[in-house]
Amino acid sequence: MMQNPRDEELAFSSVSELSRLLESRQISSVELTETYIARALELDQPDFDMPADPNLTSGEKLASIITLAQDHAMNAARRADAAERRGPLHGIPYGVKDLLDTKGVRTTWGSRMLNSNVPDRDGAVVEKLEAAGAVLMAKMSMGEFAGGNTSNALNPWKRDRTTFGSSSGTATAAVAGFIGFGIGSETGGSIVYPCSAVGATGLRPTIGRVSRFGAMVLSWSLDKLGPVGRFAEDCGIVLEAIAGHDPRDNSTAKRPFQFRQAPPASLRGTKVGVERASFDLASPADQRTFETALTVLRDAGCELEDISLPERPYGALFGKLVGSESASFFAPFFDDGSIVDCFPYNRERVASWMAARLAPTSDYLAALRIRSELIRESDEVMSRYQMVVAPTWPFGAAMREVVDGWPVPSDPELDPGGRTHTHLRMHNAANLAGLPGICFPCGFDHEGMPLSLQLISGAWEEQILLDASMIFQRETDWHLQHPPVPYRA
Amino acid sequence: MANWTWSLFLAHLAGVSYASLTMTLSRREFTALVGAGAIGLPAQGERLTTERVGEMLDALGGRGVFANPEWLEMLREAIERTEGMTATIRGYAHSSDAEPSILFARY
Repeated sequence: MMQNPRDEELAFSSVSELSRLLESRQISSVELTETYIARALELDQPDFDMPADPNLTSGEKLASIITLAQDHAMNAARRADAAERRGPLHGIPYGVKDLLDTKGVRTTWGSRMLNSNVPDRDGAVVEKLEAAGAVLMAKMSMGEFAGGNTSNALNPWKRDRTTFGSSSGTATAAVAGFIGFGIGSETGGSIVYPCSAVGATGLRPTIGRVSRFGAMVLSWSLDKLGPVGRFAEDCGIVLEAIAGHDPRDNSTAKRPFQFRQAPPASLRGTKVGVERASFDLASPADQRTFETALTVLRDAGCELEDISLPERPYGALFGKLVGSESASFFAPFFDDGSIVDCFPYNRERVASWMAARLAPTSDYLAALRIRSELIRESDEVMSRYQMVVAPTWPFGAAMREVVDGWPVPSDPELDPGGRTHTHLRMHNAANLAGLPGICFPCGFDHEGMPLSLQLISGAWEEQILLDASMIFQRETDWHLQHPPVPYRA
Repeated sequence: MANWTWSLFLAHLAGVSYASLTMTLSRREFTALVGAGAIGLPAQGERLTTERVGEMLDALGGRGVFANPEWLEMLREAIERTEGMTATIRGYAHSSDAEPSILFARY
């Protein structure tokens, strides 16, 4: 089935535009939902049932959606059309990473271990989006147990390239026009990395901004849920809908977030630290692309100044915290033996959780004590700069590595030439400090793969990230460029 | 039971035999084990064996999926892989005033 040009235009519209069309009754939620479902059926859904059978026999399909909740979505769309409008997300179809509980809709954590798991509750974010009138349409592909770069989702720009991880299905579906917006999660890069790989815009909120109730846990002290979409403005609209205190998640703060949709005319006087070491990792051609992107910020009034991160044991702390906390959360799956159903590529990882379970608690507490010092240090840096900027990832998406039909974490993908240690430090530092970040496309590499900038701010300062990103997207059109459809049969 | 299990793990770190733990540890022995544990793996130039890993699991209540020798070897390797991370954290100087960043909240 080929879609008509209007459907194509709708599929790539912003949340604001869709909201305007819905409010003025130029389109109904049922029509919009049918459009997205038709696209997903035509372009995304492989013949096999994910995630039970992760392989590459998906033909021309992107495989960004694990479960397409057609009936659920159509019922929700009919309810939205019949109900009084509840806000800007009313009637708009969305997808959530498949680690968030959805009542009556399969939730797998990307694992065949939970292939038949149908929760009887909604996660807090799904509750809030339901209250906002949004239409849950799909559960998105993800690396099993939110791990690294392994997922079924293929990169719509080139299908032999990684979509990174772990929120890769959400990011892929957003840029391929299968959903109005999406929800991803990040522990150490899982929102921003896949967004970078496919050219999506994604926001990692401050930890405690958005309730994780009803989500799989990788790390209570590091996990964040956040919006993914095509436009920075969309991320702000969605963040306002999902933010807020929740007594079921101890991390959530009583800090309201009200999105200011119109960005300021300029960012004059805004001090931005440029994490130069990460830019230096890029190829000379890509460095020029990134420098051009920095010029947009400079022209908007930002005062850019090179900074460097001090040497700290970011990676060890991150590994210790995630390992120990995952070990606790996944303990029941070791105890009942069901963990053996994890994918072969993940066995070493789950074994490392068991190793963490055997390690002294004092090491975990030592990591938390060092983390306290890093948080103070990062707050000191962010008191001098409103934002820090770096490439989200210094390279275009690498080749997707597959062994015996299984997507596997690959060293070249994660650490091409062993050069990314410097860059990973910044991601680890920002996540260890619970700082928000936003990423958006800023050009293409020599092979036509998206490149992306990331901005990081102090805690609770998401608005300045959104302001800067909206201004960037007002001045550039990288976010408006859609992948060609080689995946269309 | 908890202290005994803890001691067993320290014994593993220190290279003390499983059999020796059938005896009650003196305070001095316990302190020695803690000290030995702090230097990390492998202790006394000894390679961590799957047998010892299995003993640790037995002490914790059972081997579960690690009854499978392939999985047990994966766990042994995973423990060895944590050595560098653990050494980095233990060796990193931090203020004695630093509190762990644990969130505790009441509503």
